[in-house]
Amino acid sequence: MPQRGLWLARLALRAYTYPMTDQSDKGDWARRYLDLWERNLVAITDRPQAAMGPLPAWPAGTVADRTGIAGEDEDEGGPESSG
Amino acid sequence: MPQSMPEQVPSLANFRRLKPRPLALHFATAVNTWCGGLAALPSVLDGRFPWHPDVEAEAFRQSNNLDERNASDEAECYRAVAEEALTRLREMTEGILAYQNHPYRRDLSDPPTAWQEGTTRLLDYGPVPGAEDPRLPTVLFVPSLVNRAYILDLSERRSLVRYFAAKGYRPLLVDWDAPGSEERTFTLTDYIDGRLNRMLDRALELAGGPVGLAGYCMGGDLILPVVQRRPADITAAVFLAAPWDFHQDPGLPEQLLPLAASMLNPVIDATGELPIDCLQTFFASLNPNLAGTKFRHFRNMDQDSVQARDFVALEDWLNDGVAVAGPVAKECLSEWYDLNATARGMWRVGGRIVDPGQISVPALVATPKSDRLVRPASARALGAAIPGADMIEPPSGHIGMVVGNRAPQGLWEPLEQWLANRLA
Repeated sequence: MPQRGLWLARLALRAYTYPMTDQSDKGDWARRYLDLWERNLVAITDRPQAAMGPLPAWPAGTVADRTGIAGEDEDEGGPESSG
Repeated sequence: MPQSMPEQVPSLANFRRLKPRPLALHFATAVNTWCGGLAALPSVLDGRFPWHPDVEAEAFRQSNNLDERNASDEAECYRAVAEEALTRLREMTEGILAYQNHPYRRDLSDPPTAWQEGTTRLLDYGPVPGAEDPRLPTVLFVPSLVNRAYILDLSERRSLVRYFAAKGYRPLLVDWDAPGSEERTFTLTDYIDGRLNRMLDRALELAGGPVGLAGYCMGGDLILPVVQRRPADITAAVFLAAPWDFHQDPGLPEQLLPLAASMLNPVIDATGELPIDCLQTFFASLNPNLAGTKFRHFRNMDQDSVQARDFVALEDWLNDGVAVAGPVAKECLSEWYDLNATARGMWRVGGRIVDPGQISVPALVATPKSDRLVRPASARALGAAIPGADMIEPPSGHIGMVVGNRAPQGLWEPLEQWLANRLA
């Protein structure tokens, strides 16, 4: 555990002391890469179907029924068994 | 009794904000996002990473730039991405610290209260508050139950209701506030058939006749049954980014929300409400990068600028949400997000079906183009269901539509012009 704490402290120190603007080619590539990575995450969040096809079927009302909002509680049964 | 008082009495102005909330979630998301980019690097550099089609072409171009790479180049890539991830985390942290310590505080006073029941108030922004004045066109603004009403009166220069007051209207603003002991047992019917109907009665008294009714976000759904059932009391109805078809074009968070109900319902049962941080977590999930992006941006602003104060004003509002009454939260999760009872013609208020097709007063539906909270397709479905509804598409997001830089041209002015022709 002490080693882990030391490692975290070094990481935090590095985060606060690393020069902001790395002008090297690789630094520029890394910035564009993480920008792209962020946009990829937003695209997956916004339009998951475009990346992975339709999500597994989850019929409307399944959750409401299972959680006792619209009907009786059920002791078990995940989405697969309900679908 | 103490012999002497402290030299400095703490005031709100001296407190550092403990926001944005949930703070731990924002940091965890940022770390996961940026470190996730590092973790994926091996498959990215090998060309095996399955990018989303929206960014695939750019990813291909970018990886081609490294085609002549060697082992040493790859090592430098790992190092550069790790350093960039840490830099971003540091910049986000500095932005959050700057926000937490920013001196701006909202100092607008509430106007007089024209009506009150429990924690719900009707605020009168008219030039002569409380007076009956049939000469003034009156508009009753109804915000969502899940956020504070002052999003429509954020600051002197970002206030939809003060804009209407300056234009010669009498704006009345519903302030739902957080549910108190009475409201915690409320259903949507209690809010709509009870509180909202009685506030409309009060608005009619103040105006001396029919009034305009405008609902923002969930407030649009709240006014819908009233508009349907009391056409003689309403001259025009406005629906601003009001969700209707919850299964139209859903993103990942909307699709997963009904699943979360199974985890949230025990919390609601135990506390009697849907806690704020549960709502904040859902909002954060709509754009996992938002906190990192905006606080890095804020860090680079001139902290004395108008833009920085606007940022803090909005961020304070975003983090000043209210809990939702338990029965209301369950209704929304189950009937709206899960069953889509609204668009399927199955949503009942007071035992009666809510049917936009029955609306007979002039209606305007605004669907902001970049809305992430209420999908434009969901809001447009309401416009399509109301006979003869006019539609506008402000070039903004859900909140930017009412308080952003483009709000005056994108919403305030067209809304005022539309209402002027119908309330005169």
